[in-house]
Amino acid sequence: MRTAGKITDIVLLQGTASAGRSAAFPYLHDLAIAAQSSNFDTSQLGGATYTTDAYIQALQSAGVN
Amino acid sequence: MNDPLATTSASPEFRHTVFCMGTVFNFVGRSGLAREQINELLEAAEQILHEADSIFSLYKPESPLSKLARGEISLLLCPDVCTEIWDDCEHFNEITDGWFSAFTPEHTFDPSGLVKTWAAAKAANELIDGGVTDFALNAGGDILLSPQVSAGLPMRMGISKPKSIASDEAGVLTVIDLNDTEYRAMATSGTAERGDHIWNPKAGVTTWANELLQVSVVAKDLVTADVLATAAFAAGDQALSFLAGYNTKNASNRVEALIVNKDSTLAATPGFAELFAKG
Repeated sequence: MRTAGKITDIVLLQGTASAGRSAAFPYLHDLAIAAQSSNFDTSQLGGATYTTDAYIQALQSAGVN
Repeated sequence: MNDPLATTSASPEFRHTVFCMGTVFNFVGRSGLAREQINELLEAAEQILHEADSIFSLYKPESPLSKLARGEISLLLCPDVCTEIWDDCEHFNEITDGWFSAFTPEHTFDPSGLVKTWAAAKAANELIDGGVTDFALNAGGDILLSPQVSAGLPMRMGISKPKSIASDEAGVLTVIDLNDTEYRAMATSGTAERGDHIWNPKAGVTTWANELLQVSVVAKDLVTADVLATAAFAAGDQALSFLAGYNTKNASNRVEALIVNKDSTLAATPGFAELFAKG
């Protein structure tokens, strides 16, 4: 049984098909997790376009300002 | 001395944050120019962002684009850059086989999917033309590296999990490394921050794209990365075949993409695996 959640919670599937026609590649999960703790400048974190409010909230949670 | 993550620049670092377009732009770089000169260039770059916002914002009722969308004025009466954006949107509509469209299901012109990174690229060029050539610009989650950015750590980028950066579940999904590649930009489309906002341009009526959680696209330039991320997100379950087709037809401007499927499994274009950071 799979439930949406953290990437680290993914149950790897041996098959290649996930929902619909989009393929899932279990080996990518291992590569992504292996690189997860690699160093990078946190100002260079990418993702869906955040709002100003979300940005400020994230900074506050991180203990900045 | 042989640390592959050592930044190849001894110049002092600068950081500058701009709040604009409802999001945040962060400049981080290194320059040997006088601090005063750097600040002047950053101010000019900031001005470019604000000017683009005042022309293209659909949140500002008096912006030329809002008037255009309401049918109060024609494109010819808009500032010249509107025609430029219009042409760019047409170009990207063609090269994405229609998966990127600036026309809403209500047939109004909404180039929001392009304007932020278009303005960011223009702001970056302002710095480059002024002699600040080693920096990164994070435009609300879409990241551009200048052509002469230092090798090492400055060429790495994190990708957020498909959760809002403000949520308790926020975190880093993975880290990529663009050292020794031609790629200088990454853009991400998804619903984690602002919910449904990308429509399926191939559906007759308003249909929100929601077959995927997130698509991150790496490209040589930021606007291409942004447009392809939006297009692939709209393509949903067809994203990989769409991207494969795009790469075949645009061999000199290839992209790589990492997709988070709805069930949190991952998919990617064949070359993406080589981009994961090591160590």
